[in-house]
Amino acid sequence: MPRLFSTRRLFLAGKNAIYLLILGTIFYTVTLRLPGSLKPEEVVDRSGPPPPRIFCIISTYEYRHTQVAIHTHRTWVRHCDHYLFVSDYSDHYLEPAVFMHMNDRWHRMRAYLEYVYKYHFHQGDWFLFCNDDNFVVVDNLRHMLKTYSPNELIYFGCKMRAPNGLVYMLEGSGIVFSGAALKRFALAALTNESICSSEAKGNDFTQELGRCLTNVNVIAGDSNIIYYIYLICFHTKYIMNIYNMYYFAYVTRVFGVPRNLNIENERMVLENKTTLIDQSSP
Amino acid sequence: MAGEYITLENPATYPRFHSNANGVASGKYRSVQRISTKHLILLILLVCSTLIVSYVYWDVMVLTAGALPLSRGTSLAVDDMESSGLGNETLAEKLHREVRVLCWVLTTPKYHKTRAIHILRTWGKRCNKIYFMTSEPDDELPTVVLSKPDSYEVLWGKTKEAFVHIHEQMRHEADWFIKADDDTYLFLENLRYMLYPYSPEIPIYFGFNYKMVGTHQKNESYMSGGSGYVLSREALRIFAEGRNDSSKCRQEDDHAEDVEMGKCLFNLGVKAGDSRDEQLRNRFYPIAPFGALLSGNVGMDFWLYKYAYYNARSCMDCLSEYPVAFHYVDSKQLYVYEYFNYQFQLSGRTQVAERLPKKIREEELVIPESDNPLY
Repeated sequence: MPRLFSTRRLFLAGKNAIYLLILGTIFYTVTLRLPGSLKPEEVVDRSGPPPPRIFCIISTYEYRHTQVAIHTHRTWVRHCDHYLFVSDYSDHYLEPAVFMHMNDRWHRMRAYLEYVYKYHFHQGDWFLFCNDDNFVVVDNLRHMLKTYSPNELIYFGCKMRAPNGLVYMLEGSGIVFSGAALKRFALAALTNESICSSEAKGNDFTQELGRCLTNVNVIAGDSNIIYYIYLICFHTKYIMNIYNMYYFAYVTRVFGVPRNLNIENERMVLENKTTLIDQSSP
Repeated sequence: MAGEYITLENPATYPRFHSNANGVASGKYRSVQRISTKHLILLILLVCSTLIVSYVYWDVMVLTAGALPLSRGTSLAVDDMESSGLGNETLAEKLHREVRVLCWVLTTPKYHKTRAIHILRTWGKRCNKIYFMTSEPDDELPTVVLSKPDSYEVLWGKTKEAFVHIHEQMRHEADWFIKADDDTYLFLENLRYMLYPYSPEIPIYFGFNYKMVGTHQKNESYMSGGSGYVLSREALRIFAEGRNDSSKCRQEDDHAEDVEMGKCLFNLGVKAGDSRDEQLRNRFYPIAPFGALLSGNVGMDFWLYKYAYYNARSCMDCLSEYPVAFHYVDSKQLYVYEYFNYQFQLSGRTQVAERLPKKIREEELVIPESDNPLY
């Protein structure tokens, strides 16, 4: 018994070893919990499923390529997992999928969605369809879609209700389809004339889309939740403002004002996922 | 060997033996386990290192008071971190208290209800004090009625009168005095963050630096009036006392107020500070952000590139993360800026620990020369 606690050797003998072990353990735990070692950078949310992939379809026209679409291309579109411009003429930078000789917006939308389903369906879980003058905060959209599954038959947008009871999404504010909804639309609705008309609809094409989707049991999702602070889609009248919005949304900080992530702004219940801002002058 | 134990028959015969009151040997001397020096050293080391580590931990917590947000995975409440540090005060509140800014806005009765009121409702409420310099009072705005009329011909005169009035009546209300237009957007917290290292007793003023045109010294600069310029208390005093010197400052009321202000302050010895951040990106900008972010929109003969004192370039990374001022922001855009910067949340945004910068003494103040060769 006494031999175990011999004090003749300095290190690694009995009691010294135990003391050193305790010392080492305390150092290890304390230094690793110092706040200085917490990196203030990117926080990876390691729990849960991978974030939903968003495929962005941006609809433009040749006369708008250099005035409008190029700015969208330079700002937020990179944040999509994949994106595709669709237009009526080609372009060096945008490299759109070109659909010529179609003048009606409903015909074009049907063609766009069918094309994306055929060639790009594997590249996304959710499919965002918007115009070239929308500013979409894709990260907030991902955050909103985290709670839904892409296998649900659902689509989101700025939800409207026509007097005859038809539910559809507002044109110009972006529409998000789940993968299953796009597939159902492409396979069931487009092929069947009685479910989904193929006549020209002009500017009411989103109403027709609403009708088609309702006929194949795709739900119009309710994004009328309190998302005032996590707004997703903006429409700009003066396209240069898209740079301002991108700069403010992604780059600027206000010193000393930690934006509280848990603010619930009840008076903003009227706001849903999208908003139209009248920015008629620069 | 059995010689490890020493049994005691009479403990009192041993030196340095302290018995308790009734003389009975205390339990620990039944088998001698005196703490040897090596054990003692190890024990002391352990205790000291624990103390040092706890002190360091506490010190780091204090230094990052109120500004270290937590990772989203932890469960501590965010408002708990907001009030960490001494005195339960956030960093923004501390700056609001220590770096007092008085804002004054050049306006006219025509724009009281269309521009000035929106300024008051957006960034105006963040100034320590705000005054609107105009020619008529208003029921909703804190105005100062000046004697000069509201016209471009006497703008310099109006500016002089406004600053002198502030110096006479309100110089104790603030440390820094910023002038803005009614189509300017200011980020007050970032302004205080920029001004924190400087003492208000240094004669200095900040804004967007322009090169002086014509027959002037190479390093002479003036600040753009539209995006605003901020004077220290000492600079304000020097200006108010020296403005009547006709060899240094223009006595008539006409000419551009920002150019005349720049000339006057230069002649009176007030330094024209560099308002850029650590990465030398602009914090003040005389047009809206997209003008700095987009380069192909204008040609190389764009006026800004000719007259900018620093950094005559546009690119997507050319503006600071902590901007202070932009110009030509109309009243609707004021609310858009306000929304995006104070209320909009970006999911998954990287969070940084914000710390107050070090103070700069006047002796070690270095203002870089102009880097714009285009002239």
